[in-house]
Amino acid sequence: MGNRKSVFTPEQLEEYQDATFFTRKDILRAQKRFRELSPISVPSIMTGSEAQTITVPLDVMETLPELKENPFRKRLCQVFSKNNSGALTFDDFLDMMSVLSEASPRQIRVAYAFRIFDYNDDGYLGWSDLEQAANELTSGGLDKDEVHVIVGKIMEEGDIDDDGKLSFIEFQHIIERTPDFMTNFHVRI
Amino acid sequence: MSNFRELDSVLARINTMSCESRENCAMVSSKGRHARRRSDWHKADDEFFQESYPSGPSNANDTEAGYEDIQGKTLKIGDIRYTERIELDDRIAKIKTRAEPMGRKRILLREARDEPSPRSEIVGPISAHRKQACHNTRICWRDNAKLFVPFTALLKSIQGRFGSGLASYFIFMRWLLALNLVMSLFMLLFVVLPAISGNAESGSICNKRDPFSAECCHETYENSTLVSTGFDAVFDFATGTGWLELTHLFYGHYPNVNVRLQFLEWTYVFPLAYILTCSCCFLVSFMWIVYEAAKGFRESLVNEKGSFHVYCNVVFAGWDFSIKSPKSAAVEHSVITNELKSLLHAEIIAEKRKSMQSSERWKLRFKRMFGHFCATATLFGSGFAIYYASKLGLENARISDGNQTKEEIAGIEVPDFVMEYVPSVTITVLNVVIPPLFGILSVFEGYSPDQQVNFQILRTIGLRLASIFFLMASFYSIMCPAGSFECTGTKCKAPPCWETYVGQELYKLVWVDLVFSLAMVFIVGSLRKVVSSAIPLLQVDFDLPRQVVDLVYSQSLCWLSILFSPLAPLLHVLKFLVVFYVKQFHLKVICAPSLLLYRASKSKALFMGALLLSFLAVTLPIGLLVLEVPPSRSCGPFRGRTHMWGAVVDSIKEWPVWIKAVFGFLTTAGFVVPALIVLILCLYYYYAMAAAHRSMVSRLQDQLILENRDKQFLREKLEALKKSTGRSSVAEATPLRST
Repeated sequence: MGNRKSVFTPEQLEEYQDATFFTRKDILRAQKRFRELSPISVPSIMTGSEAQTITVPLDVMETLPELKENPFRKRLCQVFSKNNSGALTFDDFLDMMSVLSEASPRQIRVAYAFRIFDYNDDGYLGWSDLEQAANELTSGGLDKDEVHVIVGKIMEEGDIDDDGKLSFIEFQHIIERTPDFMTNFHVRI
Repeated sequence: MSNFRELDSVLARINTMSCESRENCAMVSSKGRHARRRSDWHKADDEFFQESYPSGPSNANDTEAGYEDIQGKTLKIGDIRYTERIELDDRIAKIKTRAEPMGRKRILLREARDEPSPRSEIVGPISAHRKQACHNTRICWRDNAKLFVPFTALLKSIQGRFGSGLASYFIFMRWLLALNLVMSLFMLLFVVLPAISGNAESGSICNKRDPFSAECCHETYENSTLVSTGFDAVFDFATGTGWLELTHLFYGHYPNVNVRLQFLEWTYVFPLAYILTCSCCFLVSFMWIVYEAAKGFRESLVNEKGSFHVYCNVVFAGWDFSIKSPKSAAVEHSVITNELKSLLHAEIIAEKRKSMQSSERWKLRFKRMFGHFCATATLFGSGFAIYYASKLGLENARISDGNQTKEEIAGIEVPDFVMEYVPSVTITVLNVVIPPLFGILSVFEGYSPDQQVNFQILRTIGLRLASIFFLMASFYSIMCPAGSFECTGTKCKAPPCWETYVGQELYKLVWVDLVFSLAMVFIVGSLRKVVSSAIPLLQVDFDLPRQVVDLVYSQSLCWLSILFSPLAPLLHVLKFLVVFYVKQFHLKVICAPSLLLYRASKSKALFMGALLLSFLAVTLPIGLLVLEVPPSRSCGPFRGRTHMWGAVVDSIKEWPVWIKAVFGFLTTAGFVVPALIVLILCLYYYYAMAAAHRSMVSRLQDQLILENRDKQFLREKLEALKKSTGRSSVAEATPLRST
């Protein structure tokens, strides 16, 4: 392709291709975008272990054009990072983009969507999680009573075993009946 | 001792409830048998607590069960462990879909690669770097095929700025383009090219003794068609008369005999080819529409009460992740807020409606009936207006036999050129003016916003289809009855070549439609945009339902005109290309951002439903025409026959006897009536199954709630028992699993 020095070794590329839903071109493009975020700290050649060690902090990550306007960008970065810090290595970034790509199947998107909506990380979507999600979505356009009613309606629709919170199975069940999930939960890089 | 007995019963119930698979059951029930030993019910605890978060995203860390799909199931027979061997490619595919961080996946991949495969001892160690190129042909195909689909970058930018709902409108237009391309390919290959390049075999020549035979009529017709020059030639291009009438654009110019193709030395039975290619186009359209509709139906589920979660859909899947610009994000926020607010509002209204007095209910019913009556009356009124206008145009067509007289409408002299356009302009004007009236009517009727949109769309489609029907009816009313043996028919008032005339009318309709939409976008739209900065009420909205109805109307015109002008699909390809870019301009430059949330799934179902409805409505008049109406004697591939389908019947006559017998049997009542009965029985069976499943689902849901309550109760009892027997340390050793 004209590069004298390639960005990744062939083994690395093959591993990335096996572990994600990307082709070789997509992976190189993702690396380019990752580098554009912070050209100083991210090198152009990552043949060593730079892809696992060099991190881009959360506030820089949020400047990515695809994420800039997303109300869930902070949770996205936290879910894919280590220790919920929000700082992503290239591995994590590639993982995130692969999960959100068009080729990723429903079950993996549902699994990560559950984690994203689980703001307090307790393994369930409780009232506080859903209230926070509704507020982020409407960016404060609804008042407290309306949010309360809406979360109540969601529980009514989705909480099958009536325990006051949504478990992963119930969330899966809801998403199966949500036709727009696959088209909307999708970022193209 | 009684404590242990209680423990036994508690554990037995827990174990039966947490059985997820047969193997688990076997293991668990064996533990139940030994439950008397105190140490064993630690393990029962594990099983119990693990079940509460069974296949969650981060549960796969330490248990072996999580890796069975990668490492293969293990079976222990005696002292030997047998492990199922899974192919490397399958393993990699499974690893790809695990919800785990990249580092973990890398370890799994390395493990998978390093495992020796039995082949390696014979063939030699498999290279660690498998070939890059296309080891999975399906992914390769998909990636390469994506390069050939046009407009992807354009659609992606629209999606980023306006959301998936509006992008789906353009995707629908692109699909219609593809459909028209396929149809025009069929027509070009099988109808137009043979007609142009083939030499008509020596059919009969005009025998002067019989001036009313088909061939002589044809000669008279061809000689009498006026071919004008100069400026008139340009007008003829727009109206389809004159020089354009005698080209291969219209039905009239096609041969009715067998054609000998130049290069292949085959005889090509042209009439049969014509009718079969048209039927083929219809069949292909039908199958493709049903396929797309079924695909969308599978993805977007049945909007049944209780199985479609409205609020969950908005909150969990409402935000379009592909939005990039801050303006669109602000719009999306307000759109979602509006959607939620209107949902709440609709609930309040529904509540109010339930508690309405009976007198108010009757008033509402009366209002709605009045609204429906008004709408139907408007439809019929506009239909009759179109009928009258079309009759006017027909009389004008008859008179144009050399005397360029000026026609009169209501005493005002009108040039001939304008008269040509009276039917088409009437139709288009009515189509533009009446739908807003329908909008006002639906507000007056007091329906919920969703129902309003549906009624609006149904009524607009009804208007369009009614206009087409009344136009066709006006043509039908002047057809010659079968059995008349004249050329032009002074007895029946049809023009000499009525199929070409119909083709011309539809051609003019297409032109007027295009000109009107261009005018609406460029002239009216720009004016309104300039004025709206002062008066916000006049803002232009990209009204998705109306735009879709426009598209569906254009496509139904195309289907109608295939029979009368074989190049119609090609014309429509060009028209749709122009409309594609014009609508983008409309959306990007002129329209204000819409406050309605257009969901892609609902939109797609709407488009396909409307298209299917129009298709079925269009096949009715065409079918009637082909089967019943005698083709004109002066022109076309079917001149001289009693009806168009006769071409197929004649060629079937030449087939072997047994095929004819089969076809003959298929059309008799002895076959059709039992077939119908069987179909109805099948339908009823599926309906009954669906009803049974629905009741089963609700029963299972109730059962789930009961089971959960049981589980809570037993859990509390277990805790109490643990405390009472002093095993509180167990609770600390096996904490509740969390993420």
